[in-house]
Amino acid sequence: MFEPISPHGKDIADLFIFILALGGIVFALVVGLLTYAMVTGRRRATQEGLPRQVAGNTKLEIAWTAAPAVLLIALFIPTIMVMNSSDPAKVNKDKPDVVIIGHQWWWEYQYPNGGVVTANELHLPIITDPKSNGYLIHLKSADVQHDFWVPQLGRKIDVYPDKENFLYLKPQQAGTFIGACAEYCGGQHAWMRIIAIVQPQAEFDSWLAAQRTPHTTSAPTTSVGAGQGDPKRGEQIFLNNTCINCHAINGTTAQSPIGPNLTHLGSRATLGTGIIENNPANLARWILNPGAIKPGLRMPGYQLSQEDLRDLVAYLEEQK
Amino acid sequence: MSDVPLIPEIKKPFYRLGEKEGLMSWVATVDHKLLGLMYMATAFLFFAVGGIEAMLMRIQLGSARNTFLSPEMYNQIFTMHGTTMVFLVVIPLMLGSGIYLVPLMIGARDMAFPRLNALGFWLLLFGGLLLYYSFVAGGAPNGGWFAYAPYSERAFNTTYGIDYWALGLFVQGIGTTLAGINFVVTILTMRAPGMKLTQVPMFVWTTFINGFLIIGALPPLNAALVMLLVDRRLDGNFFVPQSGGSSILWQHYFWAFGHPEVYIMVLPAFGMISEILPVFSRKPLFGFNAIAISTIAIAFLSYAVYAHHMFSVGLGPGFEAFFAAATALIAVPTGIKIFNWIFTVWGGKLQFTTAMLYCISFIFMFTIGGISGVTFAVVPTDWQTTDTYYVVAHMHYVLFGGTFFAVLGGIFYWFPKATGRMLPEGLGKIQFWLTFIGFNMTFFIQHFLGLMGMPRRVYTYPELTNWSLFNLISTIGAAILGLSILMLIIMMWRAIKHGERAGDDPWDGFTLEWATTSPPPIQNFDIIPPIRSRRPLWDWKHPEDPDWKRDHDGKQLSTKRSDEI
Repeated sequence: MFEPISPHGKDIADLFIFILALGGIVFALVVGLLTYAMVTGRRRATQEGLPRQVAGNTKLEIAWTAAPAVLLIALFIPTIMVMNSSDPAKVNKDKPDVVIIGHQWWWEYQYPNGGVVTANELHLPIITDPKSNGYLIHLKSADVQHDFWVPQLGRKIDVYPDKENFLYLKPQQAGTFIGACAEYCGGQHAWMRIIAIVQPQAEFDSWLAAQRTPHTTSAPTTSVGAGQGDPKRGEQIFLNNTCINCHAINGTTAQSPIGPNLTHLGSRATLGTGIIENNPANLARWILNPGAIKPGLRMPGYQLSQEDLRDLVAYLEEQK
Repeated sequence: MSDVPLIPEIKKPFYRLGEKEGLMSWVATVDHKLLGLMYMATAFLFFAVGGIEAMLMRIQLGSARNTFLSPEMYNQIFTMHGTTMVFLVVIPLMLGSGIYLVPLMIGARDMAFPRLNALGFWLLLFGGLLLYYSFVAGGAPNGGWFAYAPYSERAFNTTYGIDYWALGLFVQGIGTTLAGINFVVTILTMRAPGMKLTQVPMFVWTTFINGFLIIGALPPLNAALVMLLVDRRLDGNFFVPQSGGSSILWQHYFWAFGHPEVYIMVLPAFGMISEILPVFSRKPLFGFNAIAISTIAIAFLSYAVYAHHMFSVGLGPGFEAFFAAATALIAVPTGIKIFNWIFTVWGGKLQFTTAMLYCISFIFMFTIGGISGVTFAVVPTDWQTTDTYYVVAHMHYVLFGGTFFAVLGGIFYWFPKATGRMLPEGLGKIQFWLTFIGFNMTFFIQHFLGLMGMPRRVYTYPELTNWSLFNLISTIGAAILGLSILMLIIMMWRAIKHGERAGDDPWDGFTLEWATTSPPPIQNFDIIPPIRSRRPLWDWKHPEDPDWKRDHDGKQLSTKRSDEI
């Protein structure tokens, strides 16, 4: 959180450092006074007689009641200011730029303006317009409570099945930023990680356009047999198995919203919401027995022949 | 009133069932001293269990992607660790020390309701056993000690774990509430003749205020637990959003209990510090009135701050600003206490016994916990730090570095009174340093982990820069801490049998419990010294300079008390 990439995150980081500085002064005072008292008290212990039996000092006591009160007012004013600046009041709540839906244990990202639904990788454009509040995010949950948190982007906010939350994100630096679900949500809470990819506007637009366009499955190339899968056959395996009960792929008959949308799966960096790298070998392992990689998740394993598996993986990975 | 000791009048024979010796004497006892010790022993038993759970978690988190525990097992263990430490360790430690010490400190023969006292203990023990029975009944609870809905509802959590959790805490909660009532009545009605309510020792005062806190805070939890059980087993819909309930309602109920609970777990510890520091500084407590009033202020404010646990819910700026202000206000009475303790030590003749070392390090640790606590009152920084390891660090600085250090100091201080034997001072200091180093090594680094983005309650984490290293340091610290606690238990075990004889008053104490034998007889006191100030024993030992002839600032008063003229 100390390398913020948005004005919201920066305001919070600055405020944190301010508190730390004030707290540091108080701590130094306590340590100093107590250490002095200990050193002198230890020396005095060897002397004769009893110490003066002082039971209080009204002036001193009033002083250390008033001083923290003043300190707290000094803290409270920036608190309110940063509350407003780092989490501005929301306008046009019915027109969010991204809808984020938390599931046990993955993230669904919808771009209503671009007509795109994807999963587990949040793409955001760099927002340079100083007047803009940023991208309006609408958060909700499909099951239990989750929490959306990318420390470098700014505050975290809970995700509820019965409360609609909104958030502005205003990233100003390109890159990949890591976050995580921050509210305990069950067995695989640990692997409900967030990957936020911030791109320049043009790059973001072309990503959006690519995601919107259904992938055309390529015909088998002549090199089949040299270990390469046949994507056309893989598509049929996908559509004829129970994959389609949960998953959707644009441009096919698979349109179920229960599990992560697999359109352009090949373009994502990880599988299982951050648990393993996305490559053909890992994808094959995942399809055969996802429970061995991410115990407790909803997806069953599939008993496919070597050939079927190879073709299915080829089909899914081809969709860049 | 003269300076002749009072001999308490025994109106009826002491109430005691069954045998005088053996198991039956423990099972059937209504004596506050036996019950207090049973509370402490039960707390230590559960502390060992909760500590083992903590060690298992630290082993699992010692490196990235560790597979020592399965995710389901980890989730059960962190739930049980939190629940055990809060409800079966810290609360019983606070109650047990109060039940043991309060009658002795106010010169009473027992608590006001001895049988209710016994009932409270057995409800605690069986509540705890009911909770742990879940392990053999199909799985321990896995919803966290806070059991947020709807994850704790049957739709998402089908084993009986959460049901045992709710039932166990319900039973334990009744016991705790009974003890709270008992404290309030005892302190109001059972004080020795001549002891005004403003003259009770600070530990008694904080326990008194704690009684009110318990009476106000535990019933909301118990009501919510019943509602959760109705949801789970009778198809109710209080907290089920899918059928019209509200998941956030549970959070309001839980934290309406949960924040006063934080102070229930720390007020008596404040009291212990306020007893031990003066004795080893050879001075009275500095600013008794200020500490007493600030305790009341904390108790009131604690009901008005609970929603700072809910700043990430998104409840709106007006709501959040109110709770931020109330939370920040609590820093004022807490600050008053810290400075009063420092000035209790200031100008004293210090004796660095093990108990004193724990109490002084309490001030340091609690100040760190207090300062990191301010970052949760400041809403925007709370948005970043809540639900991360930063909270884990903060909360252990308050509960372990705070409350538990005070309890350890209290054990070294009152062990001679309870057993008639001293704990070894030399080994005690080694034990203190092991605890101090182990504790700081375990928890200080967790502040950084939280700020680096590590959420709480995760059974593992990916390989990110320094995460494994920092977690490993924390795990090693936990092992040192585990050793120190093991050492303490062995030391106590040996000292009961072979410890040096303590005598009645090994520390040259100020309060009434040191006026009787160690261990105290069944009726507690044969004679009670006259009580004219907050330090009756000081007055008794120093007739040339008694407290009641001195004003607040330590100046000698020339006027005599009205009854002496």
